[in-house]
Parts: sequence; structure tokens; C-alpha cells
Amino acid sequence: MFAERSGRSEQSAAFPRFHAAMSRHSFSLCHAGAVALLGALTLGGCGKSTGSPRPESALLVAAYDPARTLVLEANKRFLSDELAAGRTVTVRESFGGSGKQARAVVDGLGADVVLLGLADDVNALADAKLVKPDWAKAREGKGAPYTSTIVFVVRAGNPKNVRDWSDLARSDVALVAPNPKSSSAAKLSYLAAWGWALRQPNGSEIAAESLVRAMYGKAVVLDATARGASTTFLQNGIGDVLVTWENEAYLARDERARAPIEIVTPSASIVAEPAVAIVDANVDHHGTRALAERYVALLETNEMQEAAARAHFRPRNAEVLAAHQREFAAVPLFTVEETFGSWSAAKAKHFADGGLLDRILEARR
Amino acid sequence: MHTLARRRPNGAAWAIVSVAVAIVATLVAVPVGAVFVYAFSRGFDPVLRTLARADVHSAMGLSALAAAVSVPFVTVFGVAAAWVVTRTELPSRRALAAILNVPFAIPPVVAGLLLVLVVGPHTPLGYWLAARGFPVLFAAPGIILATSLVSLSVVAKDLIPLMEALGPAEELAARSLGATPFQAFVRVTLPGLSLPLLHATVGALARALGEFGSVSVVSGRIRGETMTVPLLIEALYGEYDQTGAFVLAALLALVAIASLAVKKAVEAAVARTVNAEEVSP
Repeated sequence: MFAERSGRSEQSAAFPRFHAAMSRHSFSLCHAGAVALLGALTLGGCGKSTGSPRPESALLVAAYDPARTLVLEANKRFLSDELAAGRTVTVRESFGGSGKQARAVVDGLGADVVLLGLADDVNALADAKLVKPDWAKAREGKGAPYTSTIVFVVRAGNPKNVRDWSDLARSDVALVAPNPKSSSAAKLSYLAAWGWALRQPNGSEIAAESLVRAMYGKAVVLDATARGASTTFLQNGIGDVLVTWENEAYLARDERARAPIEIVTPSASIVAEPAVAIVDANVDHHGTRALAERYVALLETNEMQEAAARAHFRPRNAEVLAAHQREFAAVPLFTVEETFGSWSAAKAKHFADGGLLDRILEARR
Repeated sequence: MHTLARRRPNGAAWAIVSVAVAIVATLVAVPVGAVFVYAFSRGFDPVLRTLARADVHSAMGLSALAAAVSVPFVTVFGVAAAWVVTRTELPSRRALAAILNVPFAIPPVVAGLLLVLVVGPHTPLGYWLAARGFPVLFAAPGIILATSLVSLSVVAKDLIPLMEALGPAEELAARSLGATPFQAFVRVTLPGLSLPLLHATVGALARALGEFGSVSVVSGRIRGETMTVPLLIEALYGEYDQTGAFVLAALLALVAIASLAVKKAVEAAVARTVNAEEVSP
């Protein structure tokens, strides 16, 4: 197109006055464009605004994907409870991967309450000064109303005979997992494999490293989120084994996936402790603290613990858990703290930039 | 004249044609057909139920709003930019022509992240706007901005080669007969561009309705509020609501096919006009 212009330039040289006029004219057109942009923004704003400041009666809950059914049920319950108490409120919800939701809240998504897959994702909000630094202590024993763990999903009949973590390292087993860089389920899967390897006879850090190296070095798909990995395995039919949340595995079994599947529980796994937190900065800004506190209190009721059990989470309440015990495989569970000292220690060693996971993923390329 | 260029197809020609047809069938026809098959795989009831959902209505409304604002905007911008690049001697016009490639070159997700950096609530501009009850990110304005940003140069890129080829002769004639620049633009340039402009606008519409990457970053995914149709399709698919996802996918595919049909009709109309002009003198 530049080649064509040389011809036009000769023409324009012949009409200098005309082109001077054109130049002036083009300026006014630019102004017209700027006016149009402003108009567009104004119109957009008028159309629909999710805006803060919102009325006191509106609550936004940002949750990680697997909690979707539970959150929708809680919201329904919350609305009717509030209505019964004479308050008209609205609850809105947003779902996504745990890390992505935390990122969105850090970037300014005005969530009043977050329900995330990992306490560490709430720590990210504390680092951004959106949640009080002692949020975990303040909510002692009253985190998410449930725990979960990490299990395997295999094709019907378990054709590759996958029984335990060591089978995931076999070269004939195609592994589908979320990526520990972005997914909370995947971080726990990685730590579960590591912890299992440490607990084997002659278990050592070296054995643990070679296990996770084999798993993540050869995984056929590393999806960004646990739900994405489920979709890859179930709906797209890729891989021999999926490593994911226990509740995701049961949900997948319920959801009439196109291909029948089986759930395999390894000989030991890790305790997954999702976290609930009130986003202090946002509730103070919106004036919704009382509303948010009532919502979190609702999550801790036995009724919601029952709902959690129905969604295949392990209820925290001992009585409710006992009532549902036979729905969950009896598997020895270990915590992050007893195996790695603390989350931040595990994170620094394995998931930080340049950490072990980065080196493993680097070797894939 | 065109009969001259045509030859009887031989074996090689048939082989090439069958390969082309096979590729198009595998990559285009089968997936598009599959979308419709899956959408109706459980009969009409799930389709109607999906189309009756409040969050589906909201997503359609937001997608329509984003398109309704971004398409006129990029059209006005496109005409202005094409004008500056092809009809002026401004020193900045080459830079503008180069900058017009940027929205095409950057991945949409990066465009979304750029918006977070520029109008996010933690930036001075974003904070100032939010404090006045006008949040941009995680609200409709952010989605409209993202959509406009990724489709910004669709119209301009369509018009520039055409306006280059047309040249300024007709406008110069109008000017020499005493028309003001504005009159020349409105009465000569724009009418000549009406069909290409429609063509470009339909392209911008398709881009706006289908945009995913950038909107995904700035949406916040609030159900019934900041979910566009493409985002809702992904969410429904992830929630094992395969039918719902494919119903919406089929709907988007229908719109895309309709806009393709309009584009083709416009191209045919342009061809007729050109032929008529060639014959008339």
C-alpha cells in the first residue's frame, strides 16, 4: 500500500491547496472519533453497571469452580433466610479457577466473600491488603465448611491398572492433570504425591522428586484449572488417568459423562482445606460487613454441611461427617503442615519462580 | 472473457479440488455441523430451557450491548483513520498506519491485561472513575472497551486498501466544482464507500460478538451481569451443561453464518456496481 502511495503523492503535489484543506479536515475527524469514544463509554456505563458503591443489600461471592453447586444452594438459602428476617437482598456469584478468582479480586473485582480452593489464595488477598493478615486465625476452625482430598479418575474397568501414586509415573500411563503453576488442586496433587513418596518404606526426598518429575514431566495435558482438566479427560476423552479433587471426581461420575469412569483412591493422600474469607476492604467499602458475616455463618450451619456432603465435600462437623462417612473412601490423610512445615515453606521450595516445579516444566520443553 | 481462463479439468485438477474439499469439510463443515447436532442431541426441550434462562438473556444482552457500542465506534474510527492515512499528508499518518496493525498483532488476552494496567481500580484513572460510581473493570464498560480495542482496526484495515485504489480523483473533482471538504466527504466519498463500509462493519460485528480472550480478563465472570455469550459458553461447558453450551455456540454460529451471507451479498453487489461502471462509459 505504500508503493501505491507514491503515485498519489505526485497527484497531491499538483493540488497543494486541496491537501492542506484535507489535513485540516482530518483533524476534525479525529475529534469526532474522540467524541464517539466518550459517548460509547457513557452509554456503556448507563447500560449496566456492576458498580461500587452498591446498595447495602447486594453481596458478591467469588468462588472456585468446584464449589459452584454448593454456593448456588447457599445463596438460595441465604436469600430466603434474609427475606424471612424482613431484609431484601441480592446475592451475585462469580466462578472460576481458584487462583484466577484471587487474581481478579486483587485486580479489583468487588467480591465481599471469597470461597477459594486454597488458604494460600486468600493469603494473596492478605498480601494485597484486601483481607486482614490474621484472617486465618480469626476464623479458627471455621474455614470452609468442609475438606476434601486428591484422588484419581480412570476409564471404566481401570484398563491401565492404576492403583497408587507410583503408577502415575509409569511410561504407559497418560496423565491428565491441572497445572500446579495456576491450579490449587494441582498444587495439592503435587504435594500429595511428594508426601506419599516420603511415607513409603525407604522413602526419601530423592524418591519424591523423581515421582513428581515423572508425573509432571510426562503429563499429556496440564490444564490451567481443575475443571479444565476434568473437561479434557471426560468430555474430550484424553488420557488414562485424571488427578483431581475428590469432589470433582464424584461430580464427574454423577454427570453422566460420555464415557463411564471409575474413581481410584490412592493408599494415602493429602487434606485439602478450601478457605472462606470476608474481603475486608470490599465489605468496608460497600458497607456489607454484617451481610457478609451472616453469609459466612450460614456456610457453617449443619444444614450447609449437609449440602456440602451432597456436593461430595467432607463436612468439617464431626456428626455430619459420621453420617456420611461411608460415602467417602477411608484413606489415610496427611496435612501440608505436618509434611512440609507450612504452606509458605512448600510454596518457596516447589512453586516459586525458579522452584522445583519450574525446573521440571522447563525440562518438558 | 473469463471463459478463456477456464480449462477442462484434468486429473491433477480433480485431485487438488478433492483435497481442498476434504480439508474444508474436516476443519469447517464437520465441526460447525457437530455444534448443531450436539445442540439438538437431546431434543428441543433443553434448547428452549437454555434459551429461557435469565443468565443466558443477560449474556445475550451484554454481548449485544458490547457490539452495539463497539461497532459504531470502530466504524467511525475506521473511516477517520482510513481518511487520514489515504487522503492527507499528515506526517503522523505513516505512524498511524503502522499503529493500526497493533490491535491485530497483540493477543486478545494481552489486550485485556493492558486494560487492567490502564483502567484497573488500582490505577489513578480507574480509581477516579470508580470513586464516581463508574467502575470500568469487571463491569460493562470494561467489556465494551476490551471489545472495541480488539476490533479497533477491523474497519480501517478494510477501507485503507480500497481508498488507496480509488484515489482522490472524484473528491478533487468535487472540490474543483466548489464543494467544501465536508461536502466532498459526505456527498462523494461516503456514498462511494457505502457497500465496503457495510462489509467492514459486518466484519467488526462478528469480531465483537465472538470476542473471548480480552473480555475473559476484564469480566470478573459475575453471573447475570458481566458474562458475555462466549464466556457463558465456556462456563456451561465446564459445568457439564454440554447441551446449553452447544445451544449458545449454535446461536453464535448462526449469527456468524448470517453475517457471512451479508458479506457475500455485499461483495456481489460491489462486483455488479464495478461491472456497471466499466460498461457505462
